[in-house]
Amino acid sequence: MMTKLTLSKAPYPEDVEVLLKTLFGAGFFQSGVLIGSWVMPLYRKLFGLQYALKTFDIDFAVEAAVAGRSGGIIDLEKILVDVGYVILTDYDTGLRKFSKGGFEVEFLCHRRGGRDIPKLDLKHEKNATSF
Amino acid sequence: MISDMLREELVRCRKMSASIEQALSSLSKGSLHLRSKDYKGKSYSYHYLKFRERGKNVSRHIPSGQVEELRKQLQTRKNYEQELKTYRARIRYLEKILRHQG
Repeated sequence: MMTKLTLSKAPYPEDVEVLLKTLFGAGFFQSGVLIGSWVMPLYRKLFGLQYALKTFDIDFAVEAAVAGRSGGIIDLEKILVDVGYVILTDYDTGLRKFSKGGFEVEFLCHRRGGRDIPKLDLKHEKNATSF
Repeated sequence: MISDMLREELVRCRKMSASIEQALSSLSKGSLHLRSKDYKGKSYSYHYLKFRERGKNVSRHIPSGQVEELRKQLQTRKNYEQELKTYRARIRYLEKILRHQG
């Protein structure tokens, strides 16, 4: 189940807001969630929690997306490139990242079978189970 | 604690910067131009890519079927270069702060 929240004022800088709206429009949040410090501006608006620190990396968890195999596919790579993100590879870890305006976007999921097993295919499942 | 976070951020920015440089090395560079020529009373036009290689200006003819793909690649390159600028500026800033902290 998804709850729609309406806020009187956007809690995010424009770049981050565009990113969230783009992912929302593509149906990403049916199977993924925003995690890390960038959730805090929402919590501050909704619950009055104070948290000033913000990082330049924006993380999303997509664990459930791998488990659910019922829906369509979202091409995250194409979606992000279309809104101006560049694709980067971290050669130490082999992880694929996206960057725009110095903001680094990562899609995280559980590594099954150990740290060295490759992770999520970026064309991840759309209508998977919600968190 | 704050200086640890700044150091972590510096490491992250350096890694991102290195990844961008790596990505840039495999992307086409230069600028796309359209040249027109008159021949036997008719006007012809074609695209060419202008870039520098080992200190020399090079112009390379681009077949019309490859123009759109190349245009996309050059735009992608611009995006990467813009990103690299952002990270380099941040690295300079962080290095300056950390130097002052000792």
